[in-house]
Amino acid sequence: MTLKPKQPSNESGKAARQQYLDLAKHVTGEANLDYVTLYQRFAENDWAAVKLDDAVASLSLRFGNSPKQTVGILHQSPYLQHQVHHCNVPLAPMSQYVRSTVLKTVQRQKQAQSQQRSSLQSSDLEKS
Amino acid sequence: MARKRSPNSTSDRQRIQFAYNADRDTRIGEVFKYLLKSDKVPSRKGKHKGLDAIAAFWQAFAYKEKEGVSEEEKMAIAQESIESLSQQIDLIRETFGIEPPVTVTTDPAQLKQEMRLVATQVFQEFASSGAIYALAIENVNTQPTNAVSATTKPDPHNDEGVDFDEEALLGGLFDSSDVAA
Repeated sequence: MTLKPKQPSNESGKAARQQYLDLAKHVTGEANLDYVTLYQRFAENDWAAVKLDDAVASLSLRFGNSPKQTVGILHQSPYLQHQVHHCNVPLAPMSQYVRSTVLKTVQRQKQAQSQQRSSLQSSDLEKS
Repeated sequence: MARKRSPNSTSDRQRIQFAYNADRDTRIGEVFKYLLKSDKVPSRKGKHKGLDAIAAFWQAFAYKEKEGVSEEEKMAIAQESIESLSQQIDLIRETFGIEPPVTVTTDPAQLKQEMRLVATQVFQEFASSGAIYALAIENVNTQPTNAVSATTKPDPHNDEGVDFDEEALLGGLFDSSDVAA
């Protein structure tokens, strides 16, 4: 039986799904990707789905979405949707997974920025 | 008595050559200069370093389809390559002060185990804050309530080591319930 994602039941879900899909297209480099294909490809492959969520979170933040918006977008990830609507995993632990993914990404990006700043400062010092 | 000639004697050996002329001002030219013309590395050693690098990258694939080599030997060769490449990665990290990436669980079974742990922790937190009842109602009705997020403020002790307010940054745990529905 082919896997089918549950349709979002409200407008905010639809918008978040579209945003997730747009970011996933950038991540995979497949401009014609649709959500059903994405879902079928990733929903049952835990490891790949988690890696996709990591990449989408990172890109979302880099594209200027706030961490809170990114948490919302990741609630439409194939992984979360499959776990919640197909495997009946309660939403709370899955929301916590999304929050921890975004939090780790924020921390990683902050760390990278501060490293970049300090290396720029030291190269300025070397020049002066 | 005449000495029997070994099958590996110099005259019997079949040889194959790998030669490459690099422009000095290219990146590979710099590598050749480092390995062959450096004061720090004698050129003989430099050649061996180059050969070790090629072997570490490609020997497992070279032996993969080769007949007359057992599966165990092929696995040992692959393992040897992984060890050499890992050592080289460690050396590069150490030399340039590059931190290893954050460890990601790659084993799905392990990942599920970790998720179970997270879920248990979350539920323990709810239980201790008295919000488990509200969560049960939410699961039945799939109706997010602000009251739930208000009662599930994370224990500040769990935030040790995090240098910002998680709730202010990410919103409450149930703020995205609508989005997921």
